[in-house]
Amino acid sequence: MAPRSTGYWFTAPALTLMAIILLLPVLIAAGLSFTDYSLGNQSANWVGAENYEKIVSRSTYQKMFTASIIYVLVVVPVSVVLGLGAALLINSLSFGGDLYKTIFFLPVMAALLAMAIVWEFALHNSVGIVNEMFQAGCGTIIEWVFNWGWIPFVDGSQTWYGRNCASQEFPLWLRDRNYALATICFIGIWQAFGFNMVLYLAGLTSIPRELLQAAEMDGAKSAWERFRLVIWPMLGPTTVFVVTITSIRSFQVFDTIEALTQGGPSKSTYVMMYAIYEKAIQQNLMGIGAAITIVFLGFVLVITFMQRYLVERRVHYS
Amino acid sequence: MSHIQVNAIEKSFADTKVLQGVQLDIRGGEFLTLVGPSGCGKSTLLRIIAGLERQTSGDVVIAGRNVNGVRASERDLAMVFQSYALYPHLTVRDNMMTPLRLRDLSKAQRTPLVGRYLPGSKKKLAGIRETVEETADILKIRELLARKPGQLSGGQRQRAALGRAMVRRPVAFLMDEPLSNLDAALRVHMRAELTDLHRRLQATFVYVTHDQAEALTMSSRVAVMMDGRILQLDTPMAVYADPVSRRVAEFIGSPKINILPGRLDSAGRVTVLGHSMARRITDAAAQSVSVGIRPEHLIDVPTDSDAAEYVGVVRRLEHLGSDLYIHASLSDGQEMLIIRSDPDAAARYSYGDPITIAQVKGAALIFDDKGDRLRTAPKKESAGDDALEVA
Repeated sequence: MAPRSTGYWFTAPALTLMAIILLLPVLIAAGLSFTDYSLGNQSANWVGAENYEKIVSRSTYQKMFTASIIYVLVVVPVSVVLGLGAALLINSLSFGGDLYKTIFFLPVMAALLAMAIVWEFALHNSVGIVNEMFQAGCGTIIEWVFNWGWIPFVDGSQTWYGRNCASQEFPLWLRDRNYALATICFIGIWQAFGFNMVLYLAGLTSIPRELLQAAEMDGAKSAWERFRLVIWPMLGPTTVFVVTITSIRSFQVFDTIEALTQGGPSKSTYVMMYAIYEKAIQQNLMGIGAAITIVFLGFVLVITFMQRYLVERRVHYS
Repeated sequence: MSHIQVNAIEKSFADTKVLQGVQLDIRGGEFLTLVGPSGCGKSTLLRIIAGLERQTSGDVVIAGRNVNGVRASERDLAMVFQSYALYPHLTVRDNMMTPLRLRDLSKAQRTPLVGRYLPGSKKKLAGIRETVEETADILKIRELLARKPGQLSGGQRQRAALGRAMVRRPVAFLMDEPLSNLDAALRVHMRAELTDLHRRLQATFVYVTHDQAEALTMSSRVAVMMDGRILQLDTPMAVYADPVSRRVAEFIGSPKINILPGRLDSAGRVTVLGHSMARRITDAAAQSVSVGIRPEHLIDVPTDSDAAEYVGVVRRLEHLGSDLYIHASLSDGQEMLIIRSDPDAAARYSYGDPITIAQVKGAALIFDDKGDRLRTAPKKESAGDDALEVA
């Protein structure tokens, strides 16, 4: 018989590595968040909960939470639904599916930083292709359709497109605080949904064909019925994973912000990751940066626990 | 209960022809088994009847209605799949309610959350529940209704799948190897249950299997399929005792029928390994033939017996409890024979012993060089026929 301690010895290397690589940095960050440490300083002063007080009280950080939460609440549902929709459509194709898969997956593979430069050009207010396109549409049938004037009781000249056409001025997408976050969200969705689509495609292929045929034999005639009876429940585990991973990735959004808006205008796109970067790296305020990091980790933990306790219980794992 | 006609069905996948003009008439209320080796097209045929697959050409007629353009969900058939295909996220009750819900409730009544509060829903749902419980009672799975498929054993899942097929009282039941995922003992038990169920429901069953034991024990009629064709369609006993070709004879029967090379001369006399057979073939030219003899038609006899016909050496003894199969190699060649004997014979033989074998007269099946059956001339009635004699 081996002594009782043998098991601990076997797990020791893994535990040690986990402690050093995963837990220690978090603990150090947690420790730093109670100080005013700056990189290069010999020592740091213990400031207690001051950093956290700032996070709670200062309007900058409230804007930070607002931007982050809006970003997550917009990007996650839209990219998940779009990903699922694209996967279902591609899955129903008899040919050409691979082409669509490649195209939709391109944004995921491309470096977002490089793509951000493309977006910056596209969204430029005078030479950008987006505004040029809107401008070119003015006065044509495109304006007539998209100012929604053809819908009863809608005044075409008062809608978004109508007004912008009249004034011949289109938004500065990234420089206007009313549009900046929405634009960043759009780019986030554009980037995330291809990834979700691939995950859903994998989920779809794992649905046994016999189950769909059983649904057909049982009288599920419409695509919607098959979706409700078989596809959606069988995609449950995929959905949990997709929602969790997209939420975490959305909380971590950084490169588009850094490349396109630097958190502006007037902090409207000041998301958490960017705040950590700005405080801790650019301004060398390690203490406050660490505090935001801890709050950020808190959010991620909450998402993980929500996945574990709220969702998993209602999802069927075969 | 309704009859199903399959007319000249052909099916090709790319270049391979899987079904080559299958003609089948399934009578209302019968238990018809499609049996054949894997890849013979039996499952494809079943799926074409179900509407899950489209035939390349030919017609499927169910109860007098041509259903070529009718999709599976509108053919009013029920199918039991090999994997059972129960909805894993639903309880057995919900699984069984699904077909009725889809048939009896209107689209609005099926809307999630609000549907059940619409007028009429409650009454219909109560009716559905009642039907499900009645069916569950027939299958003795009432106590399983609240469980999910993952919590059931193979046999219980099998029953739940049957239940889901039964609740709707379909025109016919289609079963695609439903027992092949069960262990041997349960399979034998479920065979009996399916036969019972068929008798009780008086419904049309179309059953696909590669297991000839299932085919022989349960069916009213058996269709033996090979290479996309139905070779023989008859009662189980006729298929066993009176196969139309060598391939059918070899496929049906376990252990396999013994095949010996023979020679048919112009007088109609068949000679096997130097012995002439008593019966004559009247309407065939001289040619080399194969002679098939079932293991139960071979008997080991004392060495000095007059009946001795083949001499061999014991190569293997297969003891099955009730029967003993002796595998013997014939002394004059590579031929192997399997002989069914009573278990007591085991004491008389061991590996390498010589054995003399006699054949039950009139039991040999003769096939021509293409494998088709050659009929022997009608036997003369005589008292000696039943007795063991030199063939």
